[in-house]
Amino acid sequence: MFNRLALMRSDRGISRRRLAELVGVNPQTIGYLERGDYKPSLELALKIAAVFRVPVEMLFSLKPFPSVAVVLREAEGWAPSNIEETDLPKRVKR
Amino acid sequence: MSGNALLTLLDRSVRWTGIPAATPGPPHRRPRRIFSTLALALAFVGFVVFAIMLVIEEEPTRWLAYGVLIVGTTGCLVQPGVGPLKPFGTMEQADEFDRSLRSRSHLAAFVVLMAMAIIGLVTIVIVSVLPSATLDQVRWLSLGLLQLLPAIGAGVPSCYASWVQPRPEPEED
Repeated sequence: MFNRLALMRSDRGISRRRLAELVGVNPQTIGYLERGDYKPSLELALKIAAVFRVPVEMLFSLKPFPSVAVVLREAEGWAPSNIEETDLPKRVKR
Repeated sequence: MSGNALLTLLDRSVRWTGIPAATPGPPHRRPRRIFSTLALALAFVGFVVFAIMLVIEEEPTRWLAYGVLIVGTTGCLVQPGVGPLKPFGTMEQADEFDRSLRSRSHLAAFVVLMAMAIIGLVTIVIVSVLPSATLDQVRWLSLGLLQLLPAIGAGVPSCYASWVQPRPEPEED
């Protein structure tokens, strides 16, 4: 199982300890979750999603999440299929 | 000496031992791979050698092995207090990760305990029907098994959890 917990936590400026307090677990458990060493129960996943006010599937997924760069590019209409030759950096000849 | 003075004296004498200073707050729990494995190995090897020496009537080695069994058992029996598992009914906060690890560890211990109990009982029965067997041998073998089984019950969960538990995350705050 993959998750965006560290990214979301960093984005919201919430420490591991604070998140642990909010969902009622030990801070180490949040660390294990972020590293993928532990799969949360549905209850814990829903509690964490509620803290960030996002749908649970935005935090946890069975497939790897796309990188932030890809998400940003897609949001700006820079999907790989939309990229034209002119958008690509020119190769510098030495 | 008044009652209060006596209580104060008793308080002071307890503080003098250093035990109250060492016990404030929750116990420092962390994986103890080497300690738990060593204690279990000592208990197990001690029992096996003790049983063999008992049957072949090798007197000094038997008591040496029994000593090893006792040391291993003692090491295993302290594991619940210092190992990574939070015991049932504790005041320490056991979240779902702790509960899951505890359940898996005790399940592993149950399997080992059951296997060793069966092996031990079969061994006792076999020894008891040997033509040269004495009642003393069967008694000592039973006593050895009686020490090994609690050692397994206390030591295996802690040992299993110590090896399975992921590396703790460093503190960020």
